[in-house]
Amino acid sequence: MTGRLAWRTATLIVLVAPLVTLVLQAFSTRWFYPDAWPDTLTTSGVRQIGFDSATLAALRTGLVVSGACTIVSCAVAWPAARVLSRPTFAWRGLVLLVLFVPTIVPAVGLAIGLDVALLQLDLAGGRPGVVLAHLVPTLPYTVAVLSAVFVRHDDRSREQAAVLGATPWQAFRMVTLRLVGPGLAVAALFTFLVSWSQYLVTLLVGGGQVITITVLVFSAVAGGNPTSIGVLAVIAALPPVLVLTIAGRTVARELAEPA
Amino acid sequence: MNDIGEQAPRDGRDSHHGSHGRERAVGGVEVVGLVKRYGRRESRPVLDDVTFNVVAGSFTCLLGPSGSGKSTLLGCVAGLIEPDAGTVAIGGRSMDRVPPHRRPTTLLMQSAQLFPFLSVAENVAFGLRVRGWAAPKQRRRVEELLALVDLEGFGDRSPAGLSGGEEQRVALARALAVEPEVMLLDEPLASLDPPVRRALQRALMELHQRLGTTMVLVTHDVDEALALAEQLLVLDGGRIVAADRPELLYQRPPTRAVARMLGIETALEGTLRNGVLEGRWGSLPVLAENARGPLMGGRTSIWVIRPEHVDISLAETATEAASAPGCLSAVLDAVRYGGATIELSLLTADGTRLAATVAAGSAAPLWSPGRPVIARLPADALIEVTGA
Amino acid sequence: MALPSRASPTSPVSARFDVDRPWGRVARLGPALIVVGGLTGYALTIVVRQSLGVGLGLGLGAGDETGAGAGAGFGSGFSLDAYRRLFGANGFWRSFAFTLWVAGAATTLSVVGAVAVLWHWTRHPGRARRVDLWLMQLNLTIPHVVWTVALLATFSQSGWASRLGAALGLFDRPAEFPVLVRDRFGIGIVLHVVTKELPFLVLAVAPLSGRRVAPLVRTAATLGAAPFQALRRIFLPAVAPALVPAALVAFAFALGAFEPARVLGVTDPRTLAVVALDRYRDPDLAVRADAQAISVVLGLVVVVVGVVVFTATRRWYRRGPDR
Repeated sequence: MTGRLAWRTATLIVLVAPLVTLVLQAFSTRWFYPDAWPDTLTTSGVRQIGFDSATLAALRTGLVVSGACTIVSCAVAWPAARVLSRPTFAWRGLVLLVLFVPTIVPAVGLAIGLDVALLQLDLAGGRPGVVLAHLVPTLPYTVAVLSAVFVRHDDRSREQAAVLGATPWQAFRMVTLRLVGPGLAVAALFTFLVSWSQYLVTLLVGGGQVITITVLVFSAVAGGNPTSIGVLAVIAALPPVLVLTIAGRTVARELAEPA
Repeated sequence: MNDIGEQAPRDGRDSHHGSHGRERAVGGVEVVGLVKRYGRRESRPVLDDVTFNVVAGSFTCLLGPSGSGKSTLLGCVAGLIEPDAGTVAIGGRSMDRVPPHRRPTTLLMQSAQLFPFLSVAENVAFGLRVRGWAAPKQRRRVEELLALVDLEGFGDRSPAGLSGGEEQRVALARALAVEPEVMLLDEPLASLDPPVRRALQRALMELHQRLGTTMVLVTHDVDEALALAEQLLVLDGGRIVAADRPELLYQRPPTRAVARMLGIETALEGTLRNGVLEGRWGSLPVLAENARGPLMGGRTSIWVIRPEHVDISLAETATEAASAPGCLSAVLDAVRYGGATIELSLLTADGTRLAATVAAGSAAPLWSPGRPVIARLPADALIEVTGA
Repeated sequence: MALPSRASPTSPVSARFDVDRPWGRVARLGPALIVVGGLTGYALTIVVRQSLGVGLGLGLGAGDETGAGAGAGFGSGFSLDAYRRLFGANGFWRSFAFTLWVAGAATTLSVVGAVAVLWHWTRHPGRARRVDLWLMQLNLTIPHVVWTVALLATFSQSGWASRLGAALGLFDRPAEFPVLVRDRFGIGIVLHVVTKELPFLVLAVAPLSGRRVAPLVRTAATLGAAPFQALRRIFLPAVAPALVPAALVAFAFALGAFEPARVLGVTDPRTLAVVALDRYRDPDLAVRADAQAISVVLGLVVVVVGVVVFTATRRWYRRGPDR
């Protein structure tokens, strides 16, 4: 019992307290040491910084970039994941190895390399280039989640539908999409999160032209104003947390392995 | 086990089943008042005050439908599941608070659970290795066991390449390697093809004869239970509802539920008057020695009869009366051809269903649904049971 | 195993591009492999070449050299200057050691912690762990930048933890609170990596350890394995196929992480990631080669550690069926 209490306390301090601190910072303008709680909670910081045009622009940019990246990533990963989930596919290991190389390249090296490569291809400095660059860290995860989903729902249900007289399009719409839908949603969620949290790649490849909310948080740290750091950080954390709250149960189910 | 040499305390009944000709004496299992409940307090317990005795050296089968708590019961004996109440003793020693790795039991599960990163030989040697056996000794023992389960030369193979039956034989060898006093088998044959399954049933019986290890097999398969058991326990709804030698249980099932679980479908309900059971389906003479009370006075009772004891003959016309005592007229409802035998399902005029099996000889009349028949139910084959 | 999907009548063209035909597979895998493999390969090639002084002018946009192709331009001669300069500078080895320490300590703690959590869950399967899983998923979704900022606000000397301590009468001044972030030993960076990577490892391995490994551990117990023996001989080998690659990803992250190193670290010593980015953004093109050289060094560290770890745990991986 004491063990569980200690564990719960530890997880609260380490995993939850930092987030609470951010929220407190965002909703206070004057919080001086050694007060354990801000004097007054106010929304003035949120109103000033949160609705600042630069913040809104960065939020929009972030949503557009990560949204586009999610769509492209899922579209590219879907067919690849289908092949990878086939039991007869002999080169699965090799393909996965290639796809997962970006996850074991140290982030700094990858960001620098992508920046130089896209500059060379004349794609750096704009949103399309940033989306393309984000695909490199996101695609491995999209493919991994989707192929796990396809392994679980293999073609047998579709064949069953075909045997019962469904046309390929009907089978896709009425069976495949229903089965794979939740898994696809989880893959999209993961992709979005990975893209959303990219800082270095966005900064370098965007070349100062593409300012996402994540980039904005980092520059606020240099500014040193606790309220604006708090507000921007909370805004940056909000979309992922919202999505997880809504989709948490599906995530848990879809990430479970077949029994 | 290190303490395998020591004689487990025996109780008197041991001598009936006898370990004559077997290599050594082993532990019996005593389970008293076992209760286990998952989830909420109000929910019905999975095990509801289970008490039974497994005689040392016997082959005991626990028969029960899915969800009757069989696996939970074995888990409690093996120490993997902690019961809410009750005690387990093995070989006379209480197993209270004894962790699974210190119990003199091994457990075979429905899937073999071979360790995928170890070879077949390493799998079999696992229990010896954790007991600190020297490598040469381990090797000798592993070879002995692989020979015992007919898998000589499989030692260096990987579990990934084995068939289902081979996997279970490796698991069996692995479980036997540590010389358990009691071997618990949780439907280990359930997922195998029938021929493989029968071969393994034979192998299990042979091993039991040779080693004398106490074996407790859980199954929902009546044929398997009847074929293997020296002692049969029937579990239903978290309780032991019958415990006896299988042939006795089959001949005289105590309740209708047990009878049904043993494959006896026919049950006739009626009132007893002067040694005759009368119901809407007709009347039949019965014997006092098969009854559970007086045969007169209008007592209501239920009687069952095994399908092979029902004699069937074709009636010439539907109206031909079954005038002889012990006969009922009925109509053939369904016919199932079963190779050596044919299973018939009959309906009496009031809709009572009777099951019968007849030999499928060449002289057998042409059974077809809808034909009127006369069923003879001999008085000595009708057994009274309790319960609905 | 699913049947090859030829249930519906198909035209010869579409049959050729069936998911089980070579061309169908090429067509389906192509885009992903081109984007990830192609772009990453191209990027890594340029980094290696530039670290060797080849094609340093690349990526300068509308510069004079771009038309001349990959091998031409400023500093096109092959040289080991960047490495010589790097290894000669006394700051480099200090940063190198510091980086290895931070990444090594953080990964070790994450792996040990994740194994402890997973082992506990395996041994006590009935316990409610929904809260823990949810907290870890929540943590996984928080961007690194945000988490870095949150840790700074909480664990700096005047952070919330220190203030709560003060309210309880433990400290009077910020200086009395232990230096947990922006410290010489990189504790802040380690804290960031551990708090992000431990949940990542747990979530990556939990599906495997829950469904497949738990019955193996129970089987080991019935065969007489004491808890520690079951952990060492069964649990660790059984989770290794999921745990080891995930741990390598965590290590690579720790090695090259920029945000926590910049925000939660000090200026001396700096991790190589911070040094590399500074050099990369230096206006002097020659200095840029240093950044590429550092990236190559970091990459090689991952390769070496990866080879060592996979070799050491090799015998634990599932053996294939015998031929």
